[in-house]
Amino acid sequence: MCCWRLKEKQIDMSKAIYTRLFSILFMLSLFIGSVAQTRYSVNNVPNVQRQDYRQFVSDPENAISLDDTRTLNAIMQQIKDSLHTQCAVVILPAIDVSYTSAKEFATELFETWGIGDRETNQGLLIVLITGEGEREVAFETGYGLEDKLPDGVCKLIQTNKMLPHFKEGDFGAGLIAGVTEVERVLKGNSDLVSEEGWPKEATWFIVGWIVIGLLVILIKTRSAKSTTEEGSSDYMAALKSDGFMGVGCWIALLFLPAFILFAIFGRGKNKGGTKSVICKSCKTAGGVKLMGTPVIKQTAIPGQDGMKEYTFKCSKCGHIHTELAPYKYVEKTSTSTSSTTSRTSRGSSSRGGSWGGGSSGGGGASTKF
Amino acid sequence: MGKKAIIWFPVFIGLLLIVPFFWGTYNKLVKREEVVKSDWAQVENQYQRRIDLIPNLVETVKGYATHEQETFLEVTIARAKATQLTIDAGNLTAENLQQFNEVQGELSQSLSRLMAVIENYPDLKANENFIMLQGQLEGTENRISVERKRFNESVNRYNTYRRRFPKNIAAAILRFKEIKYFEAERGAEASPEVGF
Repeated sequence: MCCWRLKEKQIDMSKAIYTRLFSILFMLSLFIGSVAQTRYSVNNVPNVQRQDYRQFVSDPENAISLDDTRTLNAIMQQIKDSLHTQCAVVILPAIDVSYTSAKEFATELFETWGIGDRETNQGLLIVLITGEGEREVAFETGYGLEDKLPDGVCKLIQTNKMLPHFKEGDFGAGLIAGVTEVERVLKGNSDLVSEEGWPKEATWFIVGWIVIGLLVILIKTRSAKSTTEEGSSDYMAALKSDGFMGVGCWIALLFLPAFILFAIFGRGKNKGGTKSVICKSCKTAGGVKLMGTPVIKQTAIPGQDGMKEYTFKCSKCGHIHTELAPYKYVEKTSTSTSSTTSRTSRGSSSRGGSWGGGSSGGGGASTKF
Repeated sequence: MGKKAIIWFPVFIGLLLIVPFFWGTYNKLVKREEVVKSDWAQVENQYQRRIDLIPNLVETVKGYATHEQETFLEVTIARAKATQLTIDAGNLTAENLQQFNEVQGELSQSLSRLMAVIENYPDLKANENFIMLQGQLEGTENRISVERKRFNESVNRYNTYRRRFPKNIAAAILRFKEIKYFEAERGAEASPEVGF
């Protein structure tokens, strides 16, 4: 009797424990559920740049791995240093329902943070919404970036470079692919955009003039047997325009139309110049090309030249030739003071930076997936 | 002598208060009105940008969708109408804004009809050139809504300043009129979502 009662009590006890446990679990699941659905508004997105000037990725829910974040930060630091364009990546599970679209959210966040330099407005914000059913990626470009990174190109980057990764669920890889492509577009060597506004005839015209000019120089230098500098190789000689100056005024005159065209069409690539170089490996001319932009090996400081590494590749035999060349220090005129001060005191471990105060007019693109 | 001073003293004090008040209010009103005007210019810029984009878009679509002449014609006519109508920033009356809205709204609708037609041409939708143009158009629509919002915000700032007491007295005497908001296009709030 007594024993039976005790058993009953025990059962009661265990029941109570179970219900309590169950309720705790229930509460916990609710809590987790609510965390997973945190909806962010512009004011509660962590402003990572404020906390640490080397951070460009705001990922409060850790949607991408630490390695991916590091890679993204490195690329964006590079974009900031070499192209003077501030980028930011924000990854959120969901945004507040008061925003009608991710694009609207991006525009507002861009304005609130003020991404990009105040003067040049060269800023780019990439917002990625990862929540099920709301997945979307949006680019917001500042006023200064609109012509370098038009909306249509943003859309192409999203559809062609980022979405394939996103659809597999790899947000990190998609973002890296996107940011890398942005860098390539800004540097002008993206295969996405066939250079618009560059008429084919003009290109041939310029190439024609260069070929004529080079021929003239070749003949001139050969007949006059002028002593070329022995120190530097003919690789560098092809790049240097200084050598051209001494040949004669009439050559300069001959070059004038080409120079004018170069000035008109902007970034004239001096790829044509290296064509005459004879490859050291296969001893044929016409295949040597300058690869990409020179890499800065040693940064120039006032009073001391820096070093740049040029990489040449022969398209015929694949021979790669690298060469270091000095470059002069050029004082920057239009960088914001805040960024220069943060750059000079790089020693401290984590120092709050700031966005430049740029503004945007709603440019960019967004794609749902 | 004493009586005269008693009369002139309040007048002097009154002038001392009223002149700076009018001065300050006038300048502030002018400043805010100029902001409204420049914001309006931005709105028109973005609409113009959309107008400039259309020929390219229609050309690209034409290459794929040859049987949609009616839709093309509609877009072209709506575009021609929109091209003709611009409003001077100093003449932002309710009727003008309304008219502008109607014309641009028509263009929006014909464009969304064009986009709906495109859904039937998967080849076109995969065309890179088209994706670019589509992105460009979407971007322009975004810019339009951003600039409209900014315009309305600055109109709000101007109107609020103008209507507050006692500045409303100065504003009325100096003939600063109320500026109307740029309301949403008719049909834009319920833009036809294309779903298949």
